[in-house]
Amino acid sequence: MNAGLFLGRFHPLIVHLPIGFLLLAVFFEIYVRKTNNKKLDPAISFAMFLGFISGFISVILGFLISSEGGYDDQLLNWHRFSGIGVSVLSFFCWLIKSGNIRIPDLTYLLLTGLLVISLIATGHFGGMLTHGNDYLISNAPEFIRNALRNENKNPVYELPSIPDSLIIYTHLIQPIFDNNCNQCHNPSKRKSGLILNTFDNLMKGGENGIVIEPGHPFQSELFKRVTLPQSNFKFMPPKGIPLTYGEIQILQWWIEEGASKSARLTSHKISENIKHILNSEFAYDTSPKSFVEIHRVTEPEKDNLILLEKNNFTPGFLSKNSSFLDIRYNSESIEIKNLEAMQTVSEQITWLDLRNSGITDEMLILIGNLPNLTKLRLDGNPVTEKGIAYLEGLKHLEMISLYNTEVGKGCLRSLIKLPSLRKLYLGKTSIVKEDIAEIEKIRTDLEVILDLYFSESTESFQ
Amino acid sequence: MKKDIASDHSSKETTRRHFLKSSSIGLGAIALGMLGGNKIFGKSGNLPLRNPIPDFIPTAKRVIYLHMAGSPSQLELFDYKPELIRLNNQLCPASLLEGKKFAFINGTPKLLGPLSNFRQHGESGAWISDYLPYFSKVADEVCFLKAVHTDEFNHGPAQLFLYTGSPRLGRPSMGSWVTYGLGSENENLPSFVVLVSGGKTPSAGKSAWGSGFLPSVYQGVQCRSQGDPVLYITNPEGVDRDLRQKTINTINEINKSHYDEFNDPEILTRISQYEMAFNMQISVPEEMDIWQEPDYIHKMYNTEPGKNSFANNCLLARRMAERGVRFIQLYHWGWDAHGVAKSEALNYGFLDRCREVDQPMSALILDLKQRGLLDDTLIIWSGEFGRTPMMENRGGNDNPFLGRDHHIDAFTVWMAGGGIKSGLTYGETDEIGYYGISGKIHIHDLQATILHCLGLDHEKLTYPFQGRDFRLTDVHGKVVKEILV
Repeated sequence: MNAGLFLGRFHPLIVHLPIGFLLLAVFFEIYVRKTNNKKLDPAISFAMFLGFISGFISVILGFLISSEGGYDDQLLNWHRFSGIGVSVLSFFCWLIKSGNIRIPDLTYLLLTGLLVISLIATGHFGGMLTHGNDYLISNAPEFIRNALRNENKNPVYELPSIPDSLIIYTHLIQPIFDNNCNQCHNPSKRKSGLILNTFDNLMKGGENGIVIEPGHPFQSELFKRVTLPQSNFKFMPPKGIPLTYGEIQILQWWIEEGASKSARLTSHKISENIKHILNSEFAYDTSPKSFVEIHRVTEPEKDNLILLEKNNFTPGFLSKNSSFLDIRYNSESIEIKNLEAMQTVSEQITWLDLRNSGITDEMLILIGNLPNLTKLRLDGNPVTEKGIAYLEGLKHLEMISLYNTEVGKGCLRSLIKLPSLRKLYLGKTSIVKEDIAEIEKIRTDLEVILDLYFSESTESFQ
Repeated sequence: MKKDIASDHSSKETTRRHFLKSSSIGLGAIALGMLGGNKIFGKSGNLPLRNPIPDFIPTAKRVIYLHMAGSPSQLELFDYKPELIRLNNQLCPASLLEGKKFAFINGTPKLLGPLSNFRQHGESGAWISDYLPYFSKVADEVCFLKAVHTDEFNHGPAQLFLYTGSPRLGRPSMGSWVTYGLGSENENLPSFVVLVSGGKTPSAGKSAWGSGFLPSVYQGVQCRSQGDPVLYITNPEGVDRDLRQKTINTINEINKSHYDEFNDPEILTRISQYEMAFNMQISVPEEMDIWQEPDYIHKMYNTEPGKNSFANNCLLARRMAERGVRFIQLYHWGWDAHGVAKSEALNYGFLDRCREVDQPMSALILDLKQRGLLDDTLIIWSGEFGRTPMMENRGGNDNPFLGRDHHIDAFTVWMAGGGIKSGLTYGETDEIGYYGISGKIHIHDLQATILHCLGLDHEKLTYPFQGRDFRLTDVHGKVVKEILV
């Protein structure tokens, strides 16, 4: 049994009494001044007295309950300060009203006004302590919530979209320190001589030596401190929210990998565990991105899209967030003038389907001018290696289908020069397995698909 | 501009009454105007783009869904359970039966070991039984989902659940949702085509490809491999193509003037459907004529001239995929191997079904792959549920032949192509294949994943009906990211 706490827990009950008494006194005061009915003055004085007494008891009980701990220190200080203020102000207001001291009426009005403000403030801080910061506004209309929301609560990590430009220290580790440690370990407070605002200061360590042992998280003082049992007095951070599981894991991984200042996400092997944490805690997708996901182009002019339509193309955007175009030719006899319609949107075209369009070698010059082409289908056209040579500059081309075309093995010389090419379809051409043996050796990242069929020996189940 | 394509299409002339009447279907109708009607919009210059735009960059542009109606046994084909061989003919422990509902099993059934022999195939080492020798050769192209589960244990409701997200009638089917979300790639052909083989329509009937409350233009069109490919597609006797064109032009002119007066987008739909029907008279017979294909392709698929077979339909599916049909749905009936008759016994009729589908479905994968089309075509193979590890004992007595009852808790589905990891086996069942123990995928998750591959967010693809927005996955579904490239 704890008598202090037992009584203290009556605090939330008792606090409503001074609120009621003091507000009643203030309303009476307004009534008296409006109607000039001075008969109520003793009642006001009595209400002020009751308000002071109940307020005083509330303050005592408040001290008792605050010993329980678990409250936001800063908020508690404000609540305590304004609560005592209410108590003191109500005492003076009672003294004045009951005629024990005489001061100018204006000062009395000022004090009453201050009393009301303190009362509301105390009540609000108290409410935030018991119900949490967002309790009052969490169901408010959105514009109010947006105006009042405390943006600092959830640390937001701003991560670059390409894994290659994500520097582990800058984008992941330093923000952890900024959000959890820098209140004390900053250049002005320098708790224990440790400053965690830059990589160099971190590596300098504190009064008791270095805090990071590259490669050895469990010998690193900093890592030990954040992973101690929370009851240990050496546990960091001593107040506030401890590091999350994800933050600790990222920190451990970074130290294990050598605690480098400049290492990028792509410099280290990323385990499934880290991948998962990056995804769930930092909303970071580590899966490799294709060219069209990483790059941006300007939105094409509407008139240019209409021009494409008039030339038998059907243009479509890749997605709602992308201005890259996926276009297909819909007729069997393509001409230079049709292809020229593409030049106005040459940057945007990235998937191009010219199957059975009748395109010829010379026309492929215009295809070679499309800088962002990633997929190209030329199946069923009378194109030869002569035309394919015009495509050598397509440095982003990932897939090309030459199924059922007239290309010979000479086209491989051009195709091997395409640095991004991953899939090459050469079925129903004069090219055979022996022809591609060499290209497969040089370009292990390239999959060449020739005619596919079942081996003669395959038979249905008997 | 991209995001509010539909908004250009407003009118000052719409009367209040008409607006109220049509507002419940308004948005969808505008969207469907894009499906086949880009000519109309294109002329006015309002809509330079052919289609609604995907939510994110798609990995698949079209779907070929191979449905084994009646539901094949995963335990004879893909889910290898050596422990079940040991337990063959032993009585099923009561703990597995408590609180369970089966379609036919009564009392205490016996466990039934796999009838087939299994081997690992390809570099991925996927387990496939000797019932599917052709399919074993393409093991590295597919992704096996071993622990799919559903809510429904009877054919009709389970098929509806798989295709519409609800076991009850009235919701749009997956193909309808997809064409509603993505539009057509070919204005001369329907964008959602259904091909049925095996001599019987699936139990759920045409509702499995119905458009529900979506405008009817999104309904699946059933094509036939015998007779007219689409019913009434040929001109009646005495009507030639010129006369037909004049007729349709006149009707469309009248409809156009009606549209100018009332601005009902449904009229635009009707105009575009007439136009498409006229185009289809040329394009469909050409598309459906598989005899234009060379001999080696017929040999590859094992097609049978003039017959209504799964093999013919697989070849047709490839031709449709090439021509930009968005959703191609195949049904092959006859997999309901309970063991009450020879035709539906695991050791007789079931083997015939395996022989009917093994070569063509494997050929479809290879053929699409060599044409570079497997990259953006998503193939899904499934039944509507799985089969029990227990031998069926209808009415408490052993059935005359070997068979298994319907099973909802775990079955195998495979997917291939368009953005799916190949050579992966995802999920696992317990020692006897009764429950999934890891990588469980619910039907709604499967639907969400299919839409995801097509660039559609299953939570955003909605349609307002009866006062609320509906989705294929209703309020469920989680994309199975682990199987995506």
